[in-house]
Parts: sequence; structure tokens; C-alpha cells
Amino acid sequence: MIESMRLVNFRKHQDLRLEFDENFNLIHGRNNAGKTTIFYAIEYCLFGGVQGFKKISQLALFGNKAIGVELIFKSKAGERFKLQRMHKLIGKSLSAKGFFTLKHILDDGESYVSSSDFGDHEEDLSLKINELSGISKRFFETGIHFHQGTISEILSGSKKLDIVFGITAATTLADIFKSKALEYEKEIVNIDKVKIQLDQSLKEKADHTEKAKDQAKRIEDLQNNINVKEEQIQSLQVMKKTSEDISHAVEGYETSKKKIDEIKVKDELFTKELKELKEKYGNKTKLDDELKLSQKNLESAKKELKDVETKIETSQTSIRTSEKEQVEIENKIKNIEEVTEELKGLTEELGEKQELKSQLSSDSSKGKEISKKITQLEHELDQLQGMLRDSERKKGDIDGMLNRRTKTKDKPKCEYCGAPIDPSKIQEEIKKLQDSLKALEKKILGSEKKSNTTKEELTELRNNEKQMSEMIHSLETSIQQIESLEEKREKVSGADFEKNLAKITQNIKQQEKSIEEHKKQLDTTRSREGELSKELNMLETQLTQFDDLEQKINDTKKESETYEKDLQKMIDDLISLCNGMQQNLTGKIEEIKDKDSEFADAVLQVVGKLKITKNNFSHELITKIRDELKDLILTKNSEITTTLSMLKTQLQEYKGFAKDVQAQIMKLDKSIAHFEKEINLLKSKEALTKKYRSFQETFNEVQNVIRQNASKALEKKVLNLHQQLSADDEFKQVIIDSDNYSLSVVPKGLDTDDFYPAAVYQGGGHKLILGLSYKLALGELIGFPPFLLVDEPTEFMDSNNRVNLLSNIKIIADNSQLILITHQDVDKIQANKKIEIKKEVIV
Amino acid sequence: MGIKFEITEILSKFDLNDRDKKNLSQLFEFTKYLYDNEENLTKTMNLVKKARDQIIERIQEMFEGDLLEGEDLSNQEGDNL
Repeated sequence: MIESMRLVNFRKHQDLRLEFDENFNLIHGRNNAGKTTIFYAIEYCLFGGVQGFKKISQLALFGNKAIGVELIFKSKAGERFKLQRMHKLIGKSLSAKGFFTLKHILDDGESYVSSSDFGDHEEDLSLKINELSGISKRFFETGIHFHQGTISEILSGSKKLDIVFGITAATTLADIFKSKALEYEKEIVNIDKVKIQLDQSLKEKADHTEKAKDQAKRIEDLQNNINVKEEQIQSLQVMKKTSEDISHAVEGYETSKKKIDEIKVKDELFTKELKELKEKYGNKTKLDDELKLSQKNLESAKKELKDVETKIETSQTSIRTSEKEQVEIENKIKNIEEVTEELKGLTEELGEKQELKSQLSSDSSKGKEISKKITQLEHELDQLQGMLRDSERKKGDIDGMLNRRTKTKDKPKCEYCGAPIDPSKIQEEIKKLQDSLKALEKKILGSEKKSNTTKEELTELRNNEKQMSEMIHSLETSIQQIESLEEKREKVSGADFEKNLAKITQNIKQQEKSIEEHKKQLDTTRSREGELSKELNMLETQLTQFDDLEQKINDTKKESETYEKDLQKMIDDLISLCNGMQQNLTGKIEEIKDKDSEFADAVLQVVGKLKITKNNFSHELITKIRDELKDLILTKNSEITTTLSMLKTQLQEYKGFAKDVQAQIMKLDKSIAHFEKEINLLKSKEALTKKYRSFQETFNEVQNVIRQNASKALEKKVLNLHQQLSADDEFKQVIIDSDNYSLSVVPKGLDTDDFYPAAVYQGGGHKLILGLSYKLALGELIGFPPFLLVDEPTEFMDSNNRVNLLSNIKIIADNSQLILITHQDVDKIQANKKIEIKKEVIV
Repeated sequence: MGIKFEITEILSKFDLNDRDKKNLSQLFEFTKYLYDNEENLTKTMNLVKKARDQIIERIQEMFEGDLLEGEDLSNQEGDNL
């Protein structure tokens, strides 16, 4: 049931809001007011398009780029929903882009059900609307919307009704299930072939598994044999090590033995040498006494030698001291002579000292007088210059006054008050001034002359003073030089140098004589010391020979003892080594004896000989056993290595075979899994084929059921509805062809059961009522329409039928909301709500 | 009393389990929906291939889900062999 709707820019309506009653709504209005547009709007909103309009743009109010319709409706369950749909018109071609939203209206708001904004498609919306209201597009066309002027067309039947009833859908599904079943049936044929392949693979796998077990056993045996041989090689390696250890020990033994023999030879040689030495030099004690005596004599000679040397040294020192004194005295004498000579020359050059002093005193007095005169003249000069400056100043003043008086002599006036003065007085004053000036100039001239004379005199005196000063200084220097030389001469004179010099020379001669004597004594003593030293060296050499030989004999004894001790230890170690090895090897060989007794016996026979004691120990025995061990190791090692190599080659071969077999088994496992899966798949398809065949039968049956039931149900309902809607009860029976759904009638009042096609037999008004009945019956059959949209159903009816139909039509559609458009008999119709549509004025 | 008949009502008369019944009802309604849309129809009122394929796809989803997995697996195994 539609509660309300709103149209925006939809054909004639810019913004139209309508509310509907849940029963009978009558829409009326003048022609071209937009009544039918309301039904178009409902169709547009529900399905996104309107039958008969190819483009959405044809539904738009002219000049607008968007249209929209909103429907608020109740579902079959009585819940409220709001469906909004709009289209935007884009570009010049006005291509449309659509949007929709379906909301559930709740007491506390709205919730989205489906929306293009959330990516929902038109299909989702259509299925949802169908679920909520039972309306599909085909149902809407066939059973809900009764188009103006086309109602009676249904009487000729319509193949589309097969689609409406779902007969076409059932036929299509039956066909599709048949196709699917056929497809699988073709595949299922192969199941036996796959089963055979599976059996073959299983058999092959069993054969390969058996083969793999056999190969595993062989590999295990080979591996055991290899292990035994490797253990034997390990034993041989131990034996080899043993043999090497014994060899090393024997080598050590032999070296020590050889060394001991060499030491014995050396000992004999040294003993012989000692005997010969005793025979040659006598007893060692005697040699020692002789040596001591020689040492004593030598020390005495050395002491004597030292005494003489000291004496010579003393004499030499005395000579050097005397010679030094001699030189000093000679230098002093020479110095006195030089000073005396210098003093004599100076006196000749400068004069006697007394004369110089007298001259100095006289010159000093003269100098003082000159200085005094200079001071006096400087004072006079200052006074003259002061007077000269005063005279010059006075002359300037008189000049200035004379100039002023001369300038104003024609009109003289007072310099201070400007009062005129008598020119004769001025002339007089000028004359006086000129006289004064002349007198002053004369005075200045006199003063300047005197001043110049004084300056010249002063210059001369100053030169004299300077010369005097230099003379005094020269005199003082000369006196000092003479006094200095006199002092020097006094210092070095006075001693008796010549006498001392003679003493010193005599002393030197005596000391030189003494030295000559001592030197002779020294030569004698040195000769004796040389002889004594030679004798001592000889004795020491002899004693050293004794000591060396005795030391060598001692060292040889010690060395011999050490080697003997080492040799004994080596023997002990060798015995211990052999016994330890014998035990170790015997234990090892016993462990593997049960695996290869031949090898074990051969080894034990040689190893048993290693049991040695001190009693039976001999170098030859040990060497013999060692050689036997070496031979045994060489022989057995060669045999076992060859065998081991052969076994390993065999093992590799068998492992390769085993790997191949395992690969074959894995490949077969995959094949088996594949075949099993394939069989399962085919079995599933077999089951599915049965099911699809059953569904095919079901939908074949379904279409028969619908077709038969639909025709019979329609016949009854159409007759019943017609009787209610028509003013005349004129048909005995209504017959609907189950193939094309055309309607025929059996008229009343004729004595026949013949039927006539209604589309041919009936007049316009009757066809309309019959068509309306047919459509109402269809609607009920398809899905109990929630509302009916009936557009101008009474166009060709007579008055009786029109009023009858319009009065009864709601009663017929008892379970549906009715929205009816008409422009006739509006006042006579009892509708729950009448809605007048007025033409909108579009600006 | 109306004369409307429902597909579920019709199918209830057949020997079908509930799951198949529900699936076939949905399939029937979906096929009817496809027929409702003129775009899905040829001039002779048959379904276009695309629409028919949609029905087949639905059938596979409803009845062949496990089977399809099996097919994929077998194909992979086959390639390895």
C-alpha cells in the first residue's frame, strides 16, 4: 500500500506531494493535468524506468537536469518503507545516471535496506521490493497497472503471461538442468576407464614396494659389511700408530746406546792423556809450590819497579815546577824593562811630570778668568738687547702717531672727542715727533753697533775657553799616564830575580841526573819481571792442562751416568708401551672377532708377541715384532681397502636403484591420488546428474501444474468478477485457452454451449468490463496486488455500466488499495479520498 | 479466498529435501526476475546468453560448490603427472 509520494521535476510536476488513503483513492482533474503521470512516477520509482519511454530524459520536466520520486509504502507485513529514486541528466545528450535508496522507517528513525551509494545493484533492489511487497516488474505491468485504453487487449491473450506465471522460468530451468545433466553424463562414461587406470597404478605400486623392501635389505647388509671393514681399518690404523711408536722408542734406545759407547771411548782417551802429563811434569802439588814462589818473586819485582817509577815521577815534577818558576822570573824582568822604556818615551814626548802639573795650574787659572769675562759680557749683551727692543717699540709708537697726525693735518680733530684742533699745533707736534724719531733711530743704531761688538768679543772668548779646556784635559791625561807607569814600575821592581833564576837552574840539573840513574835501575828491574812472568805463565799452562783433563774425565763420567739412567728408563717405557699396546689391540680385535675371525686370528698372532718382560727384552726382539706388525698392516690394509671400495660401489648402486624405485612409488602415489579424486569427482557428478534429471522432471511438472491451474483459476475468477462489475449478467461460462490465454465466453440465453472469442464477440463497453475482470483476476492470481493503479477504465461505457463499475470496483479489489484516475462522474463515485490534480503553472 | 499459487507451495508436492526445495524456489524466483527485465530477453522472448549463464552460475554455487574444488585439484595433479 502506498502511503504518500512526492514528484520532483517529473514530467508536468515540479514538486508535487500526494497522500493516499489505504482504500479507494480517486484522482481527477482536467485533461493534460498530469494524472497519468502519477502512475508513471510510481512505475519509475519502483523499477527505474517507464514502459513506453525509451529515455529517462523524456520523463523530466522540460529544462531540468535531474528528476526524482519518493514513495512511502507498507510491505506485506505492514512495515513502512521509503523508496527514493533520482536521475541526473548529463551533457547535451542528457544521458542519465541513476541513484536509489530503500529505507526501513522505524519509530525511532530510518535504517538503510539497499542503496546504490553502498554499491547495491538494481537487481538487489528489485528482489527486495518483490520480497517486501510481492511486486515484480512483470506483475506490475500485468496485474497492477491498468493502462488507459489498453485494458481490453488482454482478451486476445498474451504469450507474456507464460512469463508472468513463471511457466517460462520453469521451462528454462528444466532445460538448463537437462543440459547440465547431459554434460556430466558424457563425463561419467569415463569412470570405468579411470578405475582400470587406478587398479593398474595400485598393482604397480605394490610391485615397487616389494622391490624397495628387497633393496633396503641388501643395502643394510652391504652397510654392515662396510662397517666391519671400516672397523678393521681403524684397528690397522691403531696398529700402525703402535708400530710407529715402537719405532720411535727403538730409535731413542739406539741413539742412547751409541752415545754411551762414544763416552766410554772418550773416557779412556782422557785417562791416557793425564798419565802422560804426570810423567812429563811430575806431581801437580810440586807445580803448585813452584807457581806460588814465582808469583811471590814477581810481586816483589813489581813493587820495586813501582818505587823507581815513583821516584822518577817526583824528579820530573820538580823539574817542571822549576822550569815554570824560571819562565815567570824571566817574564817579570822583561816587563820592567818594557815599562821603563815606555816611561822614558812618554817623558820625552810630554815633558817632566812637575812641569806638566805647573802648566796645568796656570791653564786652570786662565780658564777661570775667561769664564768670568764671558759671564760679564753675556749680561751686558742682555741689557743692550732689552734697550734695543724698548727703542724699537717707542719708534713704532712715534711712527703711528706721526702717520695719524700727517693724515689729518689739513682738518685736525681730537682722537677721543672729535673736537677740532688748531692745525698749527699739529704741525708743531709733528715736528717734535719727527725729531724724537730721528734721535731714537740714532740711539738704536748705536745700540746695535755695540751689541754686535759684544757678540763678536763673546764668540772669541768662548773659543778661547774651549781651547783652554782641551789643553787642561790633555795635561791631566798625560799626568795620569806617567803616574800609572810609575806605579807599575814600582810594583815589579825591588826583587832579586837573577839570583833566584840561578838557583832554579841548578835544581833542574840535579833532578835530571837523578832521573837518569833511576831509569837504569828501572830497566834492570823490568828485565827481571819479564823473566818471572814468563816462568809463571809456563807453570800456569801446565796446571791448566792438568785441570782441563781432570774436568773432562769428571764430565764424561757424569754424562755416562746420565745416559745409562736414561737408557734404563727407555727400556722400561718400551716394555710398558708394548704391553699396553698388546692389551689395547687384543681388546679391540676380540670385539670384532665374531665378524671376521680370519682377520682377528692373524692380527692376534702378531700382537700377542708384544707381551715382553725385562727378562726377555732385547733390542732385536722388539725390532722383529715391529717389522712383523708393519708387514701385517701393509698386507691387510691393502686387502681391506680393495674390498671396502668394492662394497661402497655396490652400496651406491643399490642406493641409486632404491631412489629410483622410491621416485616411481611417489609418482604412482600421485597418479593414484589423481585417479581416486577423479573417480570421486565422477561419482559426485553421477549423483549430481541424477539430481539434475530429477530437477528437470520437477520443473517440467511445475510448468504443467502452473499452466493448468492458472487457466482454470482464471476462468472462475473472471466470470465471478464480471458478474460483479457488469450491470448485465450475460455469460454462462468463461473459457481461457491454456496455450495463448485468449478468453472466450459462453453466452446465457442461448441453447448451446458453444463459446465465442470475447475479443470478437463483445462490444466496446463489455470488452472493457470483461478485460478489467480478466486483469483483476490475473493480479490476484499472480500475487495479491498491494495496490491497483486503474487509469480511465470507463471511457467507452454507457452510463449504467459506468456507474455500476465505479461503484463496485473497490469491492472487487477487496484486499488492495485502489488508485483510480477518471474525469467522469466524480461526484457519483464513493471514494475514501478524492485528489484533484491541477495543471501547474511552470515558470 | 484468493487463487494465487506460490512456487514453494507447488514444490512441496515433489519429493525434495528442504535444502533443494529452498534452492529451487530461489532459482525459480531469480529466473522469473531475469524474465521480468526486457534487457535479458531476445526478440523471441528467450533469455540472452549472459542471463542464462547467470542461472548456471547460481546452480553451480548452490549444488556444485564441493565438486568445483575437486575439479581444480584434479587438474593440478594432472599437470604434475
